[in-house]
Order: sequence, then structure tokens, then C-alpha cells
Amino acid sequence: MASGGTDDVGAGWRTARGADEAALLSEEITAARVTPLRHAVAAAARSAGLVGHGLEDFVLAVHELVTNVVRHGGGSGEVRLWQNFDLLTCQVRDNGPGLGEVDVALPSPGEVGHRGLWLAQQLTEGLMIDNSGQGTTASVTARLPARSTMNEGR
Amino acid sequence: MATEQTWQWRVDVGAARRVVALSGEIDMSGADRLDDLLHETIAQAGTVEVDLAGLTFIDSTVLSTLVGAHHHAADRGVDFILVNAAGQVRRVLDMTGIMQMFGGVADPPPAAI
Repeated sequence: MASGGTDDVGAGWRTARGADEAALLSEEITAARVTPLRHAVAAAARSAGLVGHGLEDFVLAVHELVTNVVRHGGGSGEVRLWQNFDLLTCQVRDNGPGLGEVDVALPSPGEVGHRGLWLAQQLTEGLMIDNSGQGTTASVTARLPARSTMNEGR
Repeated sequence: MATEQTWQWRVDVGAARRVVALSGEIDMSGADRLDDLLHETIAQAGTVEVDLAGLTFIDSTVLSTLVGAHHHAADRGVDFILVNAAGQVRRVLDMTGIMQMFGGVADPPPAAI
């Protein structure tokens, strides 16, 4: 899906990242695209080598960040997925008003809502939220399982 | 906002108990419909069992829907039970403490043959 009109931003992002990073996916976020986006992220992460619970967890984490953009982040934004050696990172950006106070604590079981960021944090190696620029940028990272190249000595 | 349907439901209607069987993937695009479905069912039965066996994906909006339905049922004196959660669905319900709030999950009984 062509984004159109954001070429400058895209170019900036590319140059800001290192040469070892391989871009796997770049998509626009809209409410209608939430489900297909999740499937696209799952397919790309699977191709990169993520499997089993690790794959499920990463996909849900990314999905929660995308859902946040649609529900609280102004409704539109951008998802980018890239691999850097054995790390898979997904960055979700919106142009919304910003999160203000960021609370990622787990609410009590009876509470309705407010579990998205906590899940994104719990299900990945780490959640980073950058509120400093325009909008909000949130990233989650997963570690790819070792490919069948070498067995570590045991 | 037309998106492809990624989940299905079926309600088995008993005299006092209704079983809502869900399958597929439910996310924010289906949470409102699920909420309506659960509320309709709770209004019509003394016991509502939600069979999650066929579900392969839920997100935080579905968790909220289930918690909200739990409260709604409790207010009306309706038993609202989750059964057969597995895989990703089970793990997310467990890690958020929601499964415990529902009094644990009724796992499929070990084949009593």
C-alpha cells in the first residue's frame, strides 16, 4: 500500500538506522487495516525465524501498539518492522496528541481496559515509548531463536 | 468499515443454559459485536458458558469485553463461565489474572472413558 507524501520522513528513518538493519515491513495504520496488518506482521516475523510462543507474543505486542494508535493515537500512523542480527524490532508511530502519563502497570483482573501496553511490555524483550517528538513512537523487540547453525556447548 | 470476518460464533440454546462457542481471531474490530452477543445471551439465560476452544487469538479489547460481561452477568445473577481456553487465549487470560477471576477455567475433562 503506497503511503504517498511521506517520502521525506521515510528517507530520514532509513538513514538514521545502521547498515546491518534489514527492513521487513512498512505499512500505514488505519482502523480498517488492523487485522490484515497483524497478519502481515505475523508472516514477516515468521519469515525472519520467530516461531511458537515467541511469534504469538510478538504479534500480540505489536497488535496492541497498533490498536492504541487507532483508539488513542489519532487513528492513523505507521508500522515498521526490521531485523538487526538476532533482534526483531517493530516500531509503531502515530501523530496523536501523545500519551501523557504512560502507565504500563497491570490493572486488577476486574478492571475493564488498560492492559494493552502492559501486554506489549510483558510479551517482548522490551517496550520503548518515545513521546518527545510529534506524536508517539512505541517499539517492541523480540530475540530470534538461534538458527540451526551451531550448538552451544553444554 | 468493512473488514473480512475473522471469527464466528454459535449459540447452543438450552432451557437454562446457553453455550456461546467462539472460533477464529477476535480483535478490536470484533469486540463490539462480541459485547452485544454476550449481553444478549446473558439477558436470556441463567447460565452462560463461553466456549473458547476454537479461538486462536484475542487482544486486550476482548479481555475488556469478557471482564465487562462478567460484571454484567454478576449484576443480573447470571453464572458466566469460560471453558476450553487454550494456546494464546489461555496464556493471555492467565497472565492478566482474568482466568483466576473467573474461578479458573474448566478444562476439557480428561477423556473419562
